[in-house]
Amino acid sequence: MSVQKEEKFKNAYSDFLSLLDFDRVTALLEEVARELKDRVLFSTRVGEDSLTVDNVDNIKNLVERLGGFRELDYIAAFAGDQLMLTADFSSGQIKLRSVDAQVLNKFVNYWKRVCKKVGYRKDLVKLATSIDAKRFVLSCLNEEGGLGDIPRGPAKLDHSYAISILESLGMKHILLRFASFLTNTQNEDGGWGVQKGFPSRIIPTAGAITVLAVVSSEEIKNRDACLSKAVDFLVSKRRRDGTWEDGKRHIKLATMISTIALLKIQRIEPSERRVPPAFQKWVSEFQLQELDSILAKNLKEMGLLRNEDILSILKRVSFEIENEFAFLSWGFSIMPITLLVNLLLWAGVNPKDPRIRSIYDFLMKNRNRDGGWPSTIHRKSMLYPTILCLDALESITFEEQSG
Amino acid sequence: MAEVARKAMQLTWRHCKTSWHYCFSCLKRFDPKTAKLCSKCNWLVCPICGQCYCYLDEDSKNVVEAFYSAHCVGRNCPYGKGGTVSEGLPLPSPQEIEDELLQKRLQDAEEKLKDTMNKGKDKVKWYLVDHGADHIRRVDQNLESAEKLFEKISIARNNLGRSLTQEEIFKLKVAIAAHDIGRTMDDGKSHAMLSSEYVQEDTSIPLNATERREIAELCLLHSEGATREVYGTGDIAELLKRGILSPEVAYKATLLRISDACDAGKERAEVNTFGQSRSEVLERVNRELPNQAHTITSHWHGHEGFEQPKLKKDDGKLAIEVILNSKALQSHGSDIAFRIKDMLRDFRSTIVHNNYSLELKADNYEALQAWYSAYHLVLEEEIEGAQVKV
Repeated sequence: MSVQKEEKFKNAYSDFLSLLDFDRVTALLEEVARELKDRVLFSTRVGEDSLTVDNVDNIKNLVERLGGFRELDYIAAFAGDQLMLTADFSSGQIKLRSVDAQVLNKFVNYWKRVCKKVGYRKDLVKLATSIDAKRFVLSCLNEEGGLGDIPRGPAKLDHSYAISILESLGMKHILLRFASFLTNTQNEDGGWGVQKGFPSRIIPTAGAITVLAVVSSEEIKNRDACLSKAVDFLVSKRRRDGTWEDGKRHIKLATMISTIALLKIQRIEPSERRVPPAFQKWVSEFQLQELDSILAKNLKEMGLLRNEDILSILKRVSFEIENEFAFLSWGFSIMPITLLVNLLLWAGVNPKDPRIRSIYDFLMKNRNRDGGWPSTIHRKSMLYPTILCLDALESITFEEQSG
Repeated sequence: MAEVARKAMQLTWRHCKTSWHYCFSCLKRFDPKTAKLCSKCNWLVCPICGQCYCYLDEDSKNVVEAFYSAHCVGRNCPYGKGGTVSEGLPLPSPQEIEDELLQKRLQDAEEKLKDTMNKGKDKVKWYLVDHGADHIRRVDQNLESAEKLFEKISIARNNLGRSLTQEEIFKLKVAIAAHDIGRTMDDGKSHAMLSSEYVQEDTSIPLNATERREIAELCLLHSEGATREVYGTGDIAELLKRGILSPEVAYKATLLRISDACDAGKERAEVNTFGQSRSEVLERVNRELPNQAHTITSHWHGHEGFEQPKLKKDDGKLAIEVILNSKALQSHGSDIAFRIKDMLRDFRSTIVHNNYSLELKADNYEALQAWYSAYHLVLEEEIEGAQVKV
């Protein structure tokens, strides 16, 4: 006989879950054990091996013994109709079901309290943020290879220059998909618009060049032809004074990204300093809000952001930096904070310095449960700030290790 | 040696029009124009290994002579020795020769991997069910039946538009032999990641660069956890949908993952990786790990509760048939439910997703009904969208 699906479990709840929530999950399971006593069975699966657990305290040891957190698949608690709880680390979701709405609410409320009260697993930050971020970025990737600002959003190209650093964040597979998308969506004139099919503009075109510059022609067919057309477009739009304009408000940004793009493919020799004369003046006057860490990194690598420029920027915001918490009040915006952490590290500040620690804590505290970050706190996760935050965390960890 | 010499002659004969020759000894291909003639035997000296007819044993010499007189004499081969051709032994077809060579390479690769597995198996946990040679043999059998079934029920046609080639099956079989080899290594990484790296790095496995890369990728993709670590999701279907995996890789990775998952029945729990019987292992668990005995034995009891799951065609679709042990259902119902859940989780994270039916059978219908009624909620997420028959 065919079994009819039972309609009993109408009371269901689900929430995002990360490996960082491991202690929160065990706290919830302890509560389940206290409430449901011997009616509840626990089981955990690590890799391809799963075991029944009789004591919640043993779960961590068991996970470590069986293959570690990398392979942790799920932890489940089952108490017949009363409760089916799955902390599913594979899909990144915790799910609770019960026939009894009261029972469900009790555990859901407990879970919400636990998420506020119990801290995240500090030893799993690197692994967990990497997996969660990959999941989040993947959810922004559409079937054509375009990347939306948000999951399932339309592909946008205004921050495409940020995509070029995905390889260093362990996401070369997404970088390649995006590069392939670019080669398929280039306009006839060689440029790209802010979205597929839109008229060509400077910033998306220069951003696309920075992406195509870091992949090879073996990896992406048509890369060379595409790049050549794009460079011709960009060079043709250069103004007499050597700058680019993408709307009146974006002269600095358009010039910066275009210069980086052309330097990356060696169409401007850094030694010749054939960059716009205004450029060096801008660099020495940069405000934190005018730059982001990816652009700054590129400028630094190309010798266009010198140590004295970094110190000069830091000096201008010294008031906020001296007070280790003041800078965190900058409009709760992620972009300047992720830039600041890099500037401090480049200026030789120790990663264990309280200011860096504060930034680290700020970033971890304001990470959304879907594994992404918003551009300003308490908002929805978006691709661009997520990449900036991952890069900042990577810088801090890297500096810590090399320190 | 004689076998290698025979193959070399067959291959040389096949390519003699284009003048490629194959060495009797190393079986490598060379251009005869670049080879010198041995003054002693009058045969070409292989420019790669430096050997010629003189180095062959008597059996090999006989094979070479017989083949030469049957097929080569009188063909005006510039490297030949004159005479007339006789109508003799039938030659295998080019495809048969290719298949044989592939088979030989598969054996060599499997032997090499088996040897590595044996050398490092002390690192595999003794209290877990079999992850050794018998497991690999069963996964290999599962692959053969799954591959045929996927063709029958059009999964191959819908996803690939064709059947797998012999070369692709070769790669899948090597991936099966290698998929758990990472368990013998201890490097703080997931076992599938280690297996993948091992295949990529150990050049003594007889593979070319493309095969090595593809097999390494399959080793990684066999595990949901390792795939998740690299790509952010362990779901092969999602990676296919977003263009991260090609349809070919997604299809092969699906076959590997479900063939591995289907080795979940009682045969899996007859011995551990070291060949110690179930009763020996459980005795040892009680003696050496008394505090964890309940936890560890649950794993064994779960596997013991059902026969090896079978894949079959039902109503034109994929069906998973699980024959349960009625007695075990009553004594270890939850352990069995969780083991079946695990197997179905692996199915759902492939291109099969929920496009299957689950047939649960037992000789005692009441026991089966009672078990299903008590534990079906354990499986609820995994059977969502699938059809269940009890």
